Amino acid sequence: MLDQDEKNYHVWSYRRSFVEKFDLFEKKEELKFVRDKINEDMRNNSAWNHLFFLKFGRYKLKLQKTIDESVVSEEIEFAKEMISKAPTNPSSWNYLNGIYKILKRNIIELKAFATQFTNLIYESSVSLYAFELLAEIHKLEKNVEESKKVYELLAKTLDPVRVNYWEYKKAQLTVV
Amino acid sequence: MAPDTTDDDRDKKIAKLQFLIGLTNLQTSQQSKSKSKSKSKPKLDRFDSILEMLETSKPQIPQVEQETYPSRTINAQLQVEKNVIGIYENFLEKGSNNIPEIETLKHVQYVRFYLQNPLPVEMLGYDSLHTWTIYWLLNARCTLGGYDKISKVEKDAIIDKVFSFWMDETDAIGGFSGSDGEYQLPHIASSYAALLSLVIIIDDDNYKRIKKNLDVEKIHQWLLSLKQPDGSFFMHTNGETDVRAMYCALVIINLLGIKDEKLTENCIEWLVSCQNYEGGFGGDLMDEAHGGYAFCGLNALLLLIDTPKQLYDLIDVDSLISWMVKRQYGMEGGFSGRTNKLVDGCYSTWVGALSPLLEVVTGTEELINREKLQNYILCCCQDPGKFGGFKDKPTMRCDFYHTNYVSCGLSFCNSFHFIDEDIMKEDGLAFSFKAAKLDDDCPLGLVDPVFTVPIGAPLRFKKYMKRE
Ligand SMILES: [Zn+2]
Repeated sequence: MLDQDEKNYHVWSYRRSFVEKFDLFEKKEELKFVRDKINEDMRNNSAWNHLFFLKFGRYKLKLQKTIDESVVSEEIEFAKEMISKAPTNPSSWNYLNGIYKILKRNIIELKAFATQFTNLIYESSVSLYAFELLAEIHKLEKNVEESKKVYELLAKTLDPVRVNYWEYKKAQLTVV
Repeated sequence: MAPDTTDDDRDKKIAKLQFLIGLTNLQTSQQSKSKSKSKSKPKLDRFDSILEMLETSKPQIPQVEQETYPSRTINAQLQVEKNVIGIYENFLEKGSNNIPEIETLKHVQYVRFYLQNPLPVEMLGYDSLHTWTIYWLLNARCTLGGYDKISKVEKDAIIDKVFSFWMDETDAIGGFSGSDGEYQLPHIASSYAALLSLVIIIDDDNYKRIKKNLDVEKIHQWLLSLKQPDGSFFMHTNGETDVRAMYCALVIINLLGIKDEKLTENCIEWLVSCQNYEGGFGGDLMDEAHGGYAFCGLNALLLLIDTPKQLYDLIDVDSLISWMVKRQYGMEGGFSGRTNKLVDGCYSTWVGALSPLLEVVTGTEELINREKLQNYILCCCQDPGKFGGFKDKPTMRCDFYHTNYVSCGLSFCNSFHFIDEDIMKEDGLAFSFKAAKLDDDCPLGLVDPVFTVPIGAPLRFKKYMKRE
């Protein structure tokens, strides 16, 4: 029953176990391989997942306690660069958000970056992910009203397929 | 935040949409005779809701990017969007009288035919999936409304067939294999499918026979032999471990009432580690988030914990929800299994079942968009002609796997779930899900989101297994 997609999933999974087994996390060829894959098709989510594993896998697997700030900022910059090229690409946004999530970094520092993709004049560079991030940032800044406005915009106009979800997020703002 | 000019543009768009919807309301209200006695908010007519999908959802990928950064992913996505838009427009042109409905009759015919006849040559590829084939067809038939219509003769034949796949691996251990070939080993996923088939058809008349044939102690010993120190399970002796094997093992363990400390040791820790940075679950630690594994991961946890709230102490529930709702695409209405992948009907179950579960966990009425998912299933996953069955997407052919999981997804679109607290305390959280229809006229059976069998069947099976 395995289609081509599922086969690819398993190939990436083997690749990951291989890296882990022989500690190839920092091997140049492996990094080049995966960055090339992303440059070739920046929506190749399996490649993004593999990059995340190479960069943050040793930390997640508790093989190291901390990650060099230089590595972190390099990856944040890479994600930002890819987002700027294609602001609607969920893979690069998830990568950026993922870094902040596992390192418990403060997303407020992404405010200016996210805001540039919420200008509705330039429709082609508008990103739902930017709006979603901005709503989270407003919430962290205790600016519930602004956050609510963003969720309403998403629910009513920008992303009506997820109206229930945005309503849920909005309702959560007032739950303490 | 938004400058005035675009506000104007947006308002114009909304006005246009309202105008269009207003017009079609006139057209459709005359034709709609008996409307649903739905418990929740009034629903858009299907015609209007498809129109809204076309009007409000921009294609997933703006044309600008297509020109600047062409790639395989973009081309494939645009192809599907074009195809689906064509189908929706075609239905809208035919008018609100011809919007597709659930054609249960022809689908039941399809599954009944294959349940009762030997598999045709082109399906011999399923050979190693015999127990799965039985489960898919049987469950699809029940979901499509045939639960009470399975005769004693058919049930007896299914029991014979299921037990023909029983394999003793040694004197002490055994389970069900995928095919009847001698070289086959007992396999966790095949055993899961075999057991679910028995769960569906067990009754007063046959439970003694099922109990007599089912060697629970051998299965118990076999599962112990597959258990790994990190908590995971091998799919079969010397096989591989993944979230699917864990889920299937836990379903078997719960149904047979053989839960013990050795079998459940480190399960939770291992499962929790499989939630990845995107919020969904991968097959193994740090694998890519995937709809099938998300289904298995969340349900495996529900088979281990006592109350829904405990989930909050284990995983990041909000990022799982965020990942889940992103699987639904505005234009198509259906779900993809992974970020940047194409829509596929079977995720109506793998991702679609997560929604009722997480609605129960969060106490929210609705998280995904049932109406739009239903539009995708009815317009894009069933053939317009007289042949039944469901499929992945319009360009594909129907198969048993998709027929089952699309049927279940359609049932989830038409129902909501809740927990029976007494059952939860007595028999465990996983057995306590109950459901009600959103529309009383819906012909589909209710489906359990943890076990993907008719609602109530797992608890009934468990009770029969305890009966003398
Ligand atoms: Zn599929």
